[in-house]
Amino acid sequence: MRDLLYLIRYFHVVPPVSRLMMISFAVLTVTGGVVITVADAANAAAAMPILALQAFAASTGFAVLARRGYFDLLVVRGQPRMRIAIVQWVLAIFPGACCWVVLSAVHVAGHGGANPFLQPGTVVAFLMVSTIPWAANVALPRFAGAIGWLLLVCMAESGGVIWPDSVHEVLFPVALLGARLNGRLGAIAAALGLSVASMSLALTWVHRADIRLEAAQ
Amino acid sequence: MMVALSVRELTLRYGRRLVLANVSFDVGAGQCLGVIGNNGAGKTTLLRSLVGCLTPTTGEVRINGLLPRDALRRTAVAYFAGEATLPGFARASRWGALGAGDVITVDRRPFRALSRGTRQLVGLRTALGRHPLHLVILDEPWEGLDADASRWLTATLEGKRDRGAALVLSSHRVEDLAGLCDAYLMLLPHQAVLVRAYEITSAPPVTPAQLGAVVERLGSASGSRHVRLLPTVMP
Repeated sequence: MRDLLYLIRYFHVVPPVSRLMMISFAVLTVTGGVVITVADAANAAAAMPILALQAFAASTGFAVLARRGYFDLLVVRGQPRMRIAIVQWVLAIFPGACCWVVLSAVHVAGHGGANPFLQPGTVVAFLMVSTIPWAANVALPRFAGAIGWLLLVCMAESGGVIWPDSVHEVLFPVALLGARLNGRLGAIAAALGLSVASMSLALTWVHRADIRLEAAQ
Repeated sequence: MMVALSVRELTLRYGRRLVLANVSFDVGAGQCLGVIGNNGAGKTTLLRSLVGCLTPTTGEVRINGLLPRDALRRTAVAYFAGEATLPGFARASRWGALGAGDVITVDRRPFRALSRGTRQLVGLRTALGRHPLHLVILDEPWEGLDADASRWLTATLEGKRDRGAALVLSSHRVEDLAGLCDAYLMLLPHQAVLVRAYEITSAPPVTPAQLGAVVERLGSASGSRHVRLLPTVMP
């Protein structure tokens, strides 16, 4: 427990999400809350900008930071690299998750009834943008994963020319917003599987790879 | 004497490139080993493998008889690889508090706004802030420091060594290590040579080239091309 608290203290000093991004999350949450309240939105579309920002927040570039020696202070205290990576990921996606919860609460307060923010499709969409960019970005410079994914999403918007629609649903998390299990079970399961598989691969790599100091290569 | 750090037949490759070959040495509590070598000789790589940041291709590292990943949880180890390893956006005062929780500096500016020497000093004070330290591993710690800070560092390291900490220090400036080290580990291409300080009877060598000459002389005296004084605890 003491080790975990030290890790959290460390990431308070070296935050995985920049202050500018935190302000952006706050602005998008307020805007989304206004849209939900005023425009009487019955779907989770107000959260779309947060999905995009979350993809960038999650693209932390873990190994690049490790290569620069930023985590040396943690490593010499016996913190396993895997634990450092998991805590960094959790703290990177935490602001986006808070925004999601706030928008969900605003929807409940304003409209009641079925909450589109808590539908399986929405939750999986949020999970996708929180996991795949982090995993794809684990050995790449910051934001590279999110940028690469945006390119894929642009290609997914080709109206079936480049990707078939079934692939579009899995690659493009917005397509899953508000989706219920019945009828979309395949797409939701595939997206969930993709998220879990990408994180598993990335964490396995973090555990096994020898990450050299940039200056020592 | 208790062996604080033991390295046996450590070989490390980056892909197909051999960086360290069969490096062996022991450092006892209260002893200091200076690691010297030319640029790219593998000093940083060796020091990172000592704290478990890199896994040796073959051979092993033991800290207090344990593998690094186990030892680091139980033993207080200080390691600092230079100011370039400090996150530029972190505030110096907050970073300093990550050491032992003490106030290292009241400067609230981020590291990127500080001079190189100030960053180096804050990094060193943070790493050395824990008490008691059993093992101190510093990579070129005098780099960028002014005269006062250099004197502080030397005095601090002497204090740690006298209180029983084992020190492993690398430096380009051998004059910084002279007087502090019990032995030098010289990293040569595909070979590591350990020279005990007391075997250097003339003035302490101040450059790697001069130390190389000493190694050469000792090697000629013993009839071999290079002296290998490896698997021993330093006196």
